[in-house]
Amino acid sequence: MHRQKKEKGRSKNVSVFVFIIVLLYALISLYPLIWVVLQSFKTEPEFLSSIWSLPSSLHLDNYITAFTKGNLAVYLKNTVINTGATLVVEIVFITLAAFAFSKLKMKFKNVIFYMILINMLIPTPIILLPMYLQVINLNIQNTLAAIVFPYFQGFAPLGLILLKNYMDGIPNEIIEAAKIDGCSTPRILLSIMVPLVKPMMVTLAILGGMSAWNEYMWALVSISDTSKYTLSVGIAILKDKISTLGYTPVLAALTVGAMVFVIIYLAAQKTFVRSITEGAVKG
Amino acid sequence: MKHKTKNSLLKDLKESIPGYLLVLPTIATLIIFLYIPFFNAFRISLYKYKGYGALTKFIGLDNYVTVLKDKHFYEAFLHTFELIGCDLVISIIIGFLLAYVMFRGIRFKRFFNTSLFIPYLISMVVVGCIWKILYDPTIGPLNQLLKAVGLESLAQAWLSQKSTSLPSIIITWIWRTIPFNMLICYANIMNLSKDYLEAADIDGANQWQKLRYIIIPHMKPTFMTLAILTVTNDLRAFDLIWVMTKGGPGGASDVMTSYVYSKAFVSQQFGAATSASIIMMVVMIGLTVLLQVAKGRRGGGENA
Repeated sequence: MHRQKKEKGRSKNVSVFVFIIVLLYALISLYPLIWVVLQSFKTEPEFLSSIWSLPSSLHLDNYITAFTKGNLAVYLKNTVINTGATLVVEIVFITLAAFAFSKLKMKFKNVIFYMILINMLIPTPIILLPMYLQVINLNIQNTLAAIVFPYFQGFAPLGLILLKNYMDGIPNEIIEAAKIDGCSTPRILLSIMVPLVKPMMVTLAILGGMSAWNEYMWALVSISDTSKYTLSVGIAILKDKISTLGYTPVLAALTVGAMVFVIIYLAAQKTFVRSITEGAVKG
Repeated sequence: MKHKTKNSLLKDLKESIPGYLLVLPTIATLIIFLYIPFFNAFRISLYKYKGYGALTKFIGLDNYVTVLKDKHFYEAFLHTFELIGCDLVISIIIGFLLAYVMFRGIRFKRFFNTSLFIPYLISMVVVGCIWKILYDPTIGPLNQLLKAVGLESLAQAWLSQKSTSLPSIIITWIWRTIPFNMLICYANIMNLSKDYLEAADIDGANQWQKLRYIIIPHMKPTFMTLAILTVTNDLRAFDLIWVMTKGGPGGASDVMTSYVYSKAFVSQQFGAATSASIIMMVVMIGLTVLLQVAKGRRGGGENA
């Protein structure tokens, strides 16, 4: 039976012609990245003499230049801090709110819920300047708060929908039973709900983490202190410094920027793919 | 009677307090960083404003008039829709075809499935920087390749020419969106019940017929979802364009968002920029509602 199935599967395989087309597509699709990675290991003269050759040895000097002269270390550190802090706020706030919307009695629940969702219809550029003025008003420019809360604001609707729907799938009986046993609301949330919704929290962490890590426009507008620049802002600046830094250090910086999520993806492909699919379909 | 309902409302509100407390952090953030800025945006759009100090010069709808008279505004609009159009047609079709090939089965399927997704994992900023180097007129691999194969006449300054800057950006954009469309198509094509295909096999249907009469109808809701995601995502396009060309040369690759951005933060016309973004929002909401209605109608038709 098993063998039969396998044979059947093989006979359905696409033809050699299609295989070659897909292979060609894969080559075009991946070559830009492979090229950047390979060139980042060359010396500058080696790169300038031929952009096609393979690196003669693994030169790590470009990476050192990028991290020190190019300030990549600073940008990376800032981005790690921003993303980490954003994720903590996002996951805590969204978990609290999703629990309230899904399991607690609330007057005007729907009105409040739609007040949060309406956010999805407001394009960022429209509030870019007023949000910036607000940040100056609150005197929090160049602080973590000026990054974390605007990022949370942008991610809140999607995160809330995903987690609330997931919590809706958990039967109310579990909570009722815990209440009868004398469990307080905070305990119900922390020791019953949170363990049950962990898979969705991972999804939120991946989606929220990716968008916080990659965010560009708000960081570009709001951060004026160069020592607070994020990876996105910093890399875009590095690219314009090719004339002073040289091509290969910039290519090294681009390799670092490109590989972060590629490595996470290769390490946890299933979780990653599930998260992105859920984010797209339910969002 | 009236007294009683008032009491029950109070009781309801009292019972709601724990819920309200849990929602409070989210709502407070939104009030400070969304609702207040949003209402200020409408105010700013009615003033002549340089970005600092108090709003004093009330000029009514003049900003809207300025924007609606600006040729570049319409160009930016048009470019945005060119991007959306190409992305909708090319990216979704190629994404679907790749997913279909994976579904049919191909040698090294795991390798293709894993590696073809990789471009989507790279941020638009990094993608923009990489492709800017690829398109570089002298050192860029694209022109060097053209020279190497004897097509030197085709080599050009891709991003700094009016005629090629937007198409070059759109190609880069599609390069990055295909993997996403492929992933979503693949996830949904795998949900197709094998029974239908086996029944079709028994009836002697060929691959084309199966694709045409079983798989594509099955995928229609997915295509609709992808269309909505594409439109909402592309309307917000900024990072890639800003990194690659800043909307140039001379606005040749400006999209709505980069137009608003440069009006505000490059030429400091905050009032005009904000009114442009409000017009943009109206268009966005209109389109989103339209698409949702279309989707709802289609979904309803299928259920019936």
